[in-house]
Amino acid sequence: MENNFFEKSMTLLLGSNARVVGYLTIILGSLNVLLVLSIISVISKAPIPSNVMTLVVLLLLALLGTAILQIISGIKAKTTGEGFRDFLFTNDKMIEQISVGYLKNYFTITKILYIVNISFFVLIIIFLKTGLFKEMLVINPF
Amino acid sequence: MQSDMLMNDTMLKLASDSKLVGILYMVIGGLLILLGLLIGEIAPFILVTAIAIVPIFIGLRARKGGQHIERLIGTNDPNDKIVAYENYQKHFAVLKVVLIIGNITLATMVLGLFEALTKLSSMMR
Repeated sequence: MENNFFEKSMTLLLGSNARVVGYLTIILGSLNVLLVLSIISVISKAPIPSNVMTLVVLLLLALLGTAILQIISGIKAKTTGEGFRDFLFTNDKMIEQISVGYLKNYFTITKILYIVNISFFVLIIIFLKTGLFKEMLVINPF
Repeated sequence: MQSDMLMNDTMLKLASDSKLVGILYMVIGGLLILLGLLIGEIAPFILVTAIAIVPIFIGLRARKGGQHIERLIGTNDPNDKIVAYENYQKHFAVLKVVLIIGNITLATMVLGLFEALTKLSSMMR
């Protein structure tokens, strides 16, 4: 009896937290898209050398990709939360199974997102340490 | 029977994915500490280390959740499911706070960029 109550309260908390995380991740992804668009608007008006522009555009495209992945993972987290909430109302094992499936999808997309993020983080650290950014700027400034 | 097999398959994938996501979060925490070390000064290092504890905690919760789900498949003990849900719930709770702070920071950055853009366009006229 007590065990059942604890399980239900944990499921309720998991569902509500997952739903909020979903909404916040969707907002974060949309803000990232807005950030990329505003950076593109700023740099398109500024006189920037072509090789620097290529580097910046590549970085912006990567950021746009991760922003889209963030929005997808947010949608999955929101669906997970809604699924667990529905399970509490109906007590249907099938709905719990579907919700666990959504949670699995959320973690799969988050996994891809973080692998991409860590790869960029490591690349930027390597570029900064080896001075490759400086070389790119010095070889052909205009 | 078939439904149980499907559930076990989904749970096995969930366990492996959440364990990997947990490790990735911990790697991010470690990389942040490395970045603090690369800066080479004590004050930023302490600040970055304090920030890096958060992803490490989030990662630990996801990893523990995955381990309990894995144990649940083996033992079929309902307590393992409750502990796994508790761990995932804590993972999401901390992530929620991080995302609120991240959203506020990013919104400020976007607003700043919009302001810069309007200033730039008025200067060009």
